[in-house]
Amino acid sequence: MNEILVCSDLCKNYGQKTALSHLELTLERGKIIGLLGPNGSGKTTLIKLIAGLLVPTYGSLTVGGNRIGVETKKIVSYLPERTYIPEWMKVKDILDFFEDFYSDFSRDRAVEMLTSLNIAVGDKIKTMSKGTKEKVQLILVMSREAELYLLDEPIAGVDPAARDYILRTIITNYNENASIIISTHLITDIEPVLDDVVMIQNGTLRIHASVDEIREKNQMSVDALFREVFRC
Amino acid sequence: MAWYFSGDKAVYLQIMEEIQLRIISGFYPLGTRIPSVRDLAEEARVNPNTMQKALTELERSELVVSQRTAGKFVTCDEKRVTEIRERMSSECMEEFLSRMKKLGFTEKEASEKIGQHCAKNETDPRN
Amino acid sequence: MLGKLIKHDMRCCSKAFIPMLVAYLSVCLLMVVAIRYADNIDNMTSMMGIMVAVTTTAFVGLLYALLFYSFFGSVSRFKKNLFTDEGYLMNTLPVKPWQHITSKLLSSFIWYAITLAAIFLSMAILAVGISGLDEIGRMVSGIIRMMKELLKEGVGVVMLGLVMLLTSGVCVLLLLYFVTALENVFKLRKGVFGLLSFIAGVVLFWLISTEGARFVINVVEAFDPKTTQGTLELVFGCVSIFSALFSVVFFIGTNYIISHKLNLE
Repeated sequence: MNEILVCSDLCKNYGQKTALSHLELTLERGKIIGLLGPNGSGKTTLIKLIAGLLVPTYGSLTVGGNRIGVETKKIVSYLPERTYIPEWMKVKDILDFFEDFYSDFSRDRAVEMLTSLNIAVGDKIKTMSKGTKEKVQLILVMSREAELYLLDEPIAGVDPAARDYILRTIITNYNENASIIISTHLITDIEPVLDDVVMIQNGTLRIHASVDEIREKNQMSVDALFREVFRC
Repeated sequence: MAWYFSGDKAVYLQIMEEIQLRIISGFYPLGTRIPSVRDLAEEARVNPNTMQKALTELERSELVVSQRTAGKFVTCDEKRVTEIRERMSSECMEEFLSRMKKLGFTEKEASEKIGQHCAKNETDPRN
Repeated sequence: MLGKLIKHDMRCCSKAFIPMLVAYLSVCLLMVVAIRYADNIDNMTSMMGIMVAVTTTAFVGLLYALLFYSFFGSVSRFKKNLFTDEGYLMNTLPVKPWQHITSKLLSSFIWYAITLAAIFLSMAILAVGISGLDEIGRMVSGIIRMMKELLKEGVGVVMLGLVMLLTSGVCVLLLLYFVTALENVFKLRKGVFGLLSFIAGVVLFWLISTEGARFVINVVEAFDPKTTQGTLELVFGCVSIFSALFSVVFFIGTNYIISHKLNLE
């Protein structure tokens, strides 16, 4: 099956507020997909639904043909915007943790990447800077051989050199059978890395096309198109 | 260093141009192996699929040759390279002429101007 | 998976717990030393008096801290691990919610057992330290004799008593877990809700206790046991069943909330 993600009439409400409204979306395997939209458009809600942190109000959502649950969590590798590693842990502890719960985790690869950043296995999470914590989390997430990677704002709030490192890590760990969804609003840096783009506004799908199509059809970059589509 | 991409053209086309330039300038000499898709993608900071697409197009234009397990190589066919070089230089000149026209010069005037400019460069002690 | 979760929960707890246990037992030893030393000196100087007072206060303080922390620590760990930033990690593991709840429950009880053992140890240290080994020997054989007699008469009572303690402990903890989970669902203004959920917990507890008491009284009247032993067995048995039932209810409730109503901000 070539589709990794299928959303059908997907709705999510928080009380009065509608975050996602009748979303129809199908994503193929082997693509790097940008999930773009202004703040509050529903990007994070969609990602949390796929990760299993939220439950849809209506509609269906499947990953690899399965409804969200233990089976999908095995093949989905999620990088949230925030630090989720418990503060008491050392790098070694979180490596043990990932190794225990994820059979697709490659400890060697993670250690190699950490070493190249001069992060020692005995370092404490508590003493790390925000940027370093984010890099550690990215390394953990990308060291899994998952079928779907969800990266929620991986380059926001991070200095340009770190941003560069993050993009290179995503590129070098890319696996043709897996898909990566990157949610961001820093489009210029990310654009050359993307295959396809999904633009969401007010909880519905605005655009779903490849970066090349957008450039050829609109004679402008995705960043420029975004500014036009979501002009304030 | 990440490659620079302008916003209005497909990325794979721009990658193709850059690699063509590297071949023509001799940065990737004839018959030598070019870096793997993954390495090039990392260097350029682009999606490996996009890099692959560019290289596939270059293979189609016979500038790059793929050898099953050994990797991708620059063609040994010097004629092919010269053809592409000629084509790219024509494009360069077309662009020059169109810009000179915008400044109000005719083609003949533009031709004279470029001749004068080159002569000056030759006698300039700085070169 | 469950085993691994328990392993990690234990590791997490131990970071705070082990220093506390070590401190507690150390202070206990110091207290013994202080008292012994004070004993051997004829005129009690104020310095020695202070030493004894300080170590005793520290000991009692740590004892309370240990008891308090082992209980409320369970609940705060549950909340922190599943409903705050760490929840982004825990709830995306390929693990079913019931396994999370069970793991937290079991690791809490393992720590209770360890705490209890530490307290017994400290009592033993105190006893030996203050009264000397002979005295202790006599006390222990006395206790063993008493226990033998007790067991001869009321094995049932003792067994059911233990079962009751266990099930009611589980029930209370699961009640608190349930209330914590509810708090996550009905997120209003943080401060207000913390208080409301505490009140909800207390109200639920009171309701269950009174209903439970009524149930027990009815059963006892119905069976009309002739002996104290019989009555106790009946009471303990009823409370156990009652607690077990409610434990299941709270477990299912918490599991449902985590599976279907999770809302991490």
